[in-house]
Amino acid sequence: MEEKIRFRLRPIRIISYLISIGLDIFLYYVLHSYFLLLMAIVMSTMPFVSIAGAFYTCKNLKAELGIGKSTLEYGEELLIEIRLKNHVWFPALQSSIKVNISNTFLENKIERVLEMPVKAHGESKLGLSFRFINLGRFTVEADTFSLQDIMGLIIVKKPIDILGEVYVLPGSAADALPDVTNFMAGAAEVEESTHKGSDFSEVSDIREYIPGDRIRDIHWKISARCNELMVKERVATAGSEMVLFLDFVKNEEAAQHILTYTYSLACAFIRQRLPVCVLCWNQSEYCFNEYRCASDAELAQTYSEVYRLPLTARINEEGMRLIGNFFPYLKTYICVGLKDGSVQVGMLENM
Amino acid sequence: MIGIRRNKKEGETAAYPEKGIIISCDGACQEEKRKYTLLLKGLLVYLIVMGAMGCFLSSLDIKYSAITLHLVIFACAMFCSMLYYNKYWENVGYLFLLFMVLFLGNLFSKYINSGFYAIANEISNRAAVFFDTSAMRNYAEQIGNRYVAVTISMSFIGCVCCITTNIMVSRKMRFPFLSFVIMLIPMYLELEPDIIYVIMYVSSLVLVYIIGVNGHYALTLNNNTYEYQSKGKKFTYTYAARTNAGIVAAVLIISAVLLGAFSIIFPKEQFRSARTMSSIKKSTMDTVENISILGLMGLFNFSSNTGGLTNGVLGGISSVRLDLETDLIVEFTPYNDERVYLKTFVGETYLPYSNRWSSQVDYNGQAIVEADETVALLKKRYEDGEEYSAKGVMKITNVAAAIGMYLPYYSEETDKLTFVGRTQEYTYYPRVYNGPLKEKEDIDYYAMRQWMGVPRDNVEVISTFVSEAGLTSFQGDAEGAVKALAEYYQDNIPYTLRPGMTPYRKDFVNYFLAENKRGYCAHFASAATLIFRYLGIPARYVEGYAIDPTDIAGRGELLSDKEYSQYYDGYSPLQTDAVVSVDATDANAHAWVEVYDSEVGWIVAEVTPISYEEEPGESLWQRLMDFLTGGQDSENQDDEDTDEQEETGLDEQTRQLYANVLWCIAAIFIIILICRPLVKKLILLNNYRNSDRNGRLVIRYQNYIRKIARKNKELTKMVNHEEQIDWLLHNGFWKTDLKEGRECVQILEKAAFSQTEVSEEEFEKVIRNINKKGFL
Repeated sequence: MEEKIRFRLRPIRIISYLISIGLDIFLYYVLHSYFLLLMAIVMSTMPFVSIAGAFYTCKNLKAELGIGKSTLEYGEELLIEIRLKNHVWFPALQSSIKVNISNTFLENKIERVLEMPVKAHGESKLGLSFRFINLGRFTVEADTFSLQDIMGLIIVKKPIDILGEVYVLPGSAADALPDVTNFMAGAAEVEESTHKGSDFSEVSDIREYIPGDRIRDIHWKISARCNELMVKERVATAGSEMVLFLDFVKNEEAAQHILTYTYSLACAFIRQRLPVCVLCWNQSEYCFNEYRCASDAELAQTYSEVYRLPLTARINEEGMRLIGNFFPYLKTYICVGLKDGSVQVGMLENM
Repeated sequence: MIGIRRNKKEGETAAYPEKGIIISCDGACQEEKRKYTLLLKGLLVYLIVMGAMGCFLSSLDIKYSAITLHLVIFACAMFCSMLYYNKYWENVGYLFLLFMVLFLGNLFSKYINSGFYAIANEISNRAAVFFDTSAMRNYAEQIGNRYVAVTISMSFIGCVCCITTNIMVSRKMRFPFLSFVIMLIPMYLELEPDIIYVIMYVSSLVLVYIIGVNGHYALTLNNNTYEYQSKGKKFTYTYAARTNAGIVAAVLIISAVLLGAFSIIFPKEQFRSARTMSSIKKSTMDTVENISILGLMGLFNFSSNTGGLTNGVLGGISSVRLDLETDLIVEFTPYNDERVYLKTFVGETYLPYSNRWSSQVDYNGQAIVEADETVALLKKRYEDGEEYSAKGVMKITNVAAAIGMYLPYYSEETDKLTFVGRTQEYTYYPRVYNGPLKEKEDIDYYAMRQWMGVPRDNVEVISTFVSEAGLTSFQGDAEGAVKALAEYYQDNIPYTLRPGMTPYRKDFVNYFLAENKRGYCAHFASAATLIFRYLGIPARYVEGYAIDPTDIAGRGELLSDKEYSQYYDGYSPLQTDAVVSVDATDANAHAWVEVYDSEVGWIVAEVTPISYEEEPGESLWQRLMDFLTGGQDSENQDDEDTDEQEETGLDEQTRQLYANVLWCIAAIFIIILICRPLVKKLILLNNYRNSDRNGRLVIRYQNYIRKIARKNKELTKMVNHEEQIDWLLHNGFWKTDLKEGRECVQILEKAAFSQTEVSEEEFEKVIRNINKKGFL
């Protein structure tokens, strides 16, 4: 970026200062006093020193942004440090940076001004503690640095390039993991119903019946042969992964609930060693984005990818209908969406 | 707790959550030591107080222990600034300071008073030298050792200054400009301070300005380096001691280098030798001298006057201010190129210390001006038809002068008073014959005794003056004495329209001749009358109007429709048949002396010196105009002699133009001041008219809150409807119960933030409470 320094005058302050000097000169004209002459010399020299100093300082000043980490969990604190490195021996008492903090996923932003002193030949730091209570991708950026000369007569502006990003994941909000065994069993049933005859390929083991086991898991043929009830123990459901479809709606709160619940589900599946495929709509490319993850790190990466597009680009009211067209071989998937004003999760068969 | 800033927002380090983000700067900020900031402020207070006191004392060149004063002021400044370290220190510290001031003030009261008087006396002495006067007052110093007294006194005053300056600097970062006003005294007296103190003083002035315009000087209750300000949505630092220390160092170095270099290149001794006195300062000198002698009373006149004349009452006028409005209109025929005098008062006996001339008065209290024998002699010459004789008629219209007689020389109509708005006709017999009117004879001193008396209280001063002025040889020689005195006056005693009042318990003539040595016509004429009498010459003090030939030429109007014969008959040295009308203003008011000549009778003796002073009504303005126009007006003034009428007109136009511009600016300013609230209300009414019910409710509610908040600043801190209505209920502005208050909150929230329009009943419910204060 080309460092073109611009400035803005502060007319009222300049006029009032000129009036002060004018008063001193008038008094000098009347009284012809050496003291007033000396005062006039200092008063008329200082603005030039101040303005030149402001330009010089601004030119040699470097602004930096320090962000501790790029991925956060909901409610976790993050320290962001803004540093002003002044390489010259001229200080300034008033400098400001206008910082925009945007949530690119929910498409909102706030603006804060940071006012800092500029030390002579030193570094000034401002550490800000951020706590994000929305999910999404947050960017912290500033493009202009303003510095007021010490006499307050002008404001010098210089372009800077400060940019940092943070992804906020549901994290602790999704700590209470749901029981996903029903989803897994449901998916298995659907899978089974699609196969003809007995197929043991999905059964990992045969064991004795324990009270509480489902009736439908009883392997009747072997039970008859062994003269006691035996049940099938399954390790996987349909295929090799669980598909989670994020059915977003145009409601920030609901969208965050969907994200949080999906995150919980995905975590639960991953804990069960079942890979997850997160499916969400991409309006700009008119297709579904598939993000596969088998670990927490991959899940975090998946969410980072989900946040990259704004919420509005992730909404398609006919999403469920389109899944059939885009993924004809997909038998079941879990849909997390909004129904009757609350987040609903359901296992759906792909039609 | 008075110094540490505190309000609801103070110490706030976290922004309210917005868009799912909470930002705070607590804990994460690098803290700076609060005490360093306080020490810096202490240094600033020291620079201001020591700089100002050092400038003042070094200007007067008064001896004192500089090291002691520096140490005391430094310690006091540091102590005062450290009081803001915390609440406890502040409260206890100020009590301690109060106690110490009272205790030390009482303990060293003699030294403090004496030191203070020593400085006042030093100023008086310097002023006496500067103004070349001996009329200055001095105070009795109780302590013989001035060095010690001044040191103790200045240390005490310095401590008091530190306390007040610290409050100004710590709380508002304001420079105590009173110190600058006090510095005007040595500046006016052309006394210059030492350069080191100038550096301290000027640096502190610049530093206070710099820190003030940049803000961030108020101390907060907590130690956070940064805080959040919801207004402006910004995180801002509270104070930065290191950066401020850098600024202090930079300014001190720059000032020291700059002023040090300049004072080496152009030292004050060189400046002093090249110094000239500005014309504006010259025009204020008399006033300033009056103030230095009489205090502020020197600015006021204690008797009403016309051009400084008050029918013989003297000494009560500090400054003659002329209105230059027409007092009299005089119609006559000029017969020579001398002044035309109109007598209104003749002083017979001077009353010392009462400071007035007494004269015979009639039963109305009007001064009696008797026609003397000269009139009879001149009348006889005219009636006898002698060659050099004449008779004239003078018509005097009293426009705005006091009721009285305005008697021309030589008229016998001493019973004619001129009332305001009336015209009076006086017949006179001009002395166109230069020879003696009667045979020379010895003066009958017994008959003249009332015109010969010199009060005993004045004899000593007049005797000394006569010796000093070399007038002793003019005993009984009227012509020689008048000429010599007029010359002495001209050379030694300046004419001024701002002589100052005669101080209480001083005699007017003695004060004029021995101390003040400046004055206007009444001073010169009064003193001259007594001097002539002292020299054995019958003399009397006269007041009235004097119209110069230049007035006739300048302001006079030729009355072509008037018959010359009706105004003048007989010999005229001017050989003219013109009848003129001249306006006499208070600038024509005059006092003069009449001395008795044995061959002619009473003749005018003019001793008042020529004035080189600007007319006081115009002088300051004129000087300002000179300043603004680069002296063009002065040049115009110089050209007045050649083309007076034209230049006067031009000058008047310029002055009028500037006056109009100033008036316009003032008028616009006043109109804006008056109209601003009206315009605001009109806009409000218009908005109200164009709004729906929700809008109207919001407007009325906001207006209502604004009205109450003007007198109750606490309400401004309540940011939402709920808080505001709670406050109103709690403070008794709303008499309704809490339930209705809550309903009103809901209605207002609905009106302000929802699309649904409030119902008529809801509207009325809120208005019922608001209406108590009225709309607009």
